[in-house]
Amino acid sequence: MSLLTRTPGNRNLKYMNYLVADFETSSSAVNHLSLLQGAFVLFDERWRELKRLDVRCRMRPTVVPSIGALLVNKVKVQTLKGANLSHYDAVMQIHAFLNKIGPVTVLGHNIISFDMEAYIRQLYKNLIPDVYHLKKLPHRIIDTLNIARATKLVDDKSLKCEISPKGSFLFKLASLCEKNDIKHEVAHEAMSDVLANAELARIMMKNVPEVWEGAIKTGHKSETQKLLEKNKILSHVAYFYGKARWYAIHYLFSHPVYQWAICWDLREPIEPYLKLGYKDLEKAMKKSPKFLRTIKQNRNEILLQSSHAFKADPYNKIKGGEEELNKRVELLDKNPKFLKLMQTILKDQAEEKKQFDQKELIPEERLYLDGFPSDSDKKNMELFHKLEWKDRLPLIDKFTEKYRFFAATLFYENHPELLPKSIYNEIHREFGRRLLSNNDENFETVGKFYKELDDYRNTFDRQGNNEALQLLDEYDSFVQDIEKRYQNA
Amino acid sequence: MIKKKSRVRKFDPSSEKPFTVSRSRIQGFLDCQRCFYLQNKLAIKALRSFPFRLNSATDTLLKKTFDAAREKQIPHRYFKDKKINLVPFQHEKINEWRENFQGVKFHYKKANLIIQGAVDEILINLRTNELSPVEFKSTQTKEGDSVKYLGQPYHKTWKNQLEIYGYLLEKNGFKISEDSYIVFCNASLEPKEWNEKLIFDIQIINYKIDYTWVEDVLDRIKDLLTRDKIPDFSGEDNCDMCRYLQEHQEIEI
Repeated sequence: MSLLTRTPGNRNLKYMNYLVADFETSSSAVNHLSLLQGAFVLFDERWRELKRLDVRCRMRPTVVPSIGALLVNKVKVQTLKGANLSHYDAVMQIHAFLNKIGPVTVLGHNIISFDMEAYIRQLYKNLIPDVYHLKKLPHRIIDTLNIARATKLVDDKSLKCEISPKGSFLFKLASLCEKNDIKHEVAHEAMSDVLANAELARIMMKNVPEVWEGAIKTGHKSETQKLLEKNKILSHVAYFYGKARWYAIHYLFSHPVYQWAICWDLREPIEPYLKLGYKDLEKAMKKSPKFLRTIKQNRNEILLQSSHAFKADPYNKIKGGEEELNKRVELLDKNPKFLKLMQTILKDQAEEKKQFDQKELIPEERLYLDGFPSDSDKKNMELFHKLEWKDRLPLIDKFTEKYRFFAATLFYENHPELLPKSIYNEIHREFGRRLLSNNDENFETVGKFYKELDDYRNTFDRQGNNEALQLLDEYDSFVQDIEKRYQNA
Repeated sequence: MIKKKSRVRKFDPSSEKPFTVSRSRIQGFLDCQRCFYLQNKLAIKALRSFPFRLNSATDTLLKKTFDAAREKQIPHRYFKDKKINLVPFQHEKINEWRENFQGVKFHYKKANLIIQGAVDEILINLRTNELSPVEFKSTQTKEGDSVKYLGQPYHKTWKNQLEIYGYLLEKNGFKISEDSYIVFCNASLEPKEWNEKLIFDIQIINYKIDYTWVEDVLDRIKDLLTRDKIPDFSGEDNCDMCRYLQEHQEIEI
């Protein structure tokens, strides 16, 4: 039969394909880094491989790398300079691939904080209008780092972990692979990481399916919000100071400015706070441990049924047990004025912070601040990618300021010979100013690089690691060339 | 307990006669055990969907073109274009196997269930004698090329369908290939004029079948049918009907 009816159950999310992704980059500064490699493997719901993409590219010429990142990735200068693809073409190729694979649950290790943010910013600077395409339903994004922490917390035997000198479990991908007999050919080589991470995911999915399914349920911000609203009490796995812990939380409201979910930590009774005025409550809200817990809906936080937290310290020691915790929830729900007062305080705090953060941001750092591109910028972006480089030139001045800068930078990086002298000089000077800056910038500068170089040289000298020292010499000469290029800017 | 007179076929625990479970009922069980129980044990019929006549029409036309290739024992042109050297399977029961409410049948004695599924087409590799089940799907979607990855949660239904056909054919004594196919017909919205014709973009989607799960599900179906308790509401992820009824009930309270 050819009926394409949606039978009731067939939207079960565990039947989606998985896309395991990883990027290797020139540094960890997401706004300013250059991609070096991107690897992606598409699997079906039974983890059978359907398609893969492995892209390597030259480093953007407007970037200084971090030695730490290069050493981790074991990248040679030859690759930074001589890979076949330009950075622009690599980003376009990745974007085209990801646009063609249909709905997926994207996963990676620390993907939420790093890889996804890095990818979005490359789209942004490559003049792709829809930078959030992977963040839109039906796609979901889940993080194996969060899942590993929660999996270990729910069932200690499900995952073997290395223990740090401070006594905490380590959840680095390479370490998890080693401890759990997962084949990991070359750590920090993107495709190798992707395949190892897929295997780790399979193990966690099999050993503690509850956490896996829980992670999928919070794989999109709107669904996390629904989950919080529908459940009176949830167990949240929070991770800090090297330890995962349970929190029994009750959702109160969305943050009046940032829209994050604000929840009450049910270890704390409600009565002592109910009658407090603005000042006292504000003071109480700042005290540690905080009774308000923030859940960022797009962070793939692991939220499971309440019973987990009820069994954990300190909730299992609360007099009256589960009944008392339910009473606390009821009390919160019956006191809208109290909730309103907390909202007002949070709003005032956020406004105050905004006034304090008046630093002028450069275009790369204004992705979230400025919001979506205008319709006219979008149109010009679409046109930009359809044309040959020589025909794109007139578009530069049609963009609004920020995108004009990105368009001119793309020319400067890919076809500087086509740029009019005035625009070339403008961009050349701007990157010269940035890369040769002696200030403590939030991106890599030549100065920072040399400082890092000295530190690493000392370390490798002491270790007598000649191979690494030779690699440092190559990096040194590579960055000296960058320095020379901008010295007369 | 709900009492209801119905002509809907239902499981009778006192009967020794095998109970027939169609491919779609197996899917019903996978989707929502509560709804499955209501339908098969208590004979409360599920809501009917609209008859999709246009889709049925494409099915009928496709079947005709496959019949022509069957007669000549040559690959159908869609498969030939993709260099897939399989020909429509010639068998005396082919029409019965493709007929709704008939289909390929197998008596799974362990659970005393008759399993039945009407396959759209069966292809044979004349070199290996392996059969490949084929399913026709027609629609209009913007998903286009990405459909080939079968990544939508509802595509799981299609995969299950092909795997159940593979299971049934194997149980009828045939050698089965792991390659099954979906002939996906996507109506194009590109023509500027109507001309009373729908133009379809055709994709042949390969899916590697693995039907090792089927008998476990059949055992679970039997186990559920012999229980006296209605399963709880499914989670909202699984069943729109359960979600609807539950939310309805909450409002009435």
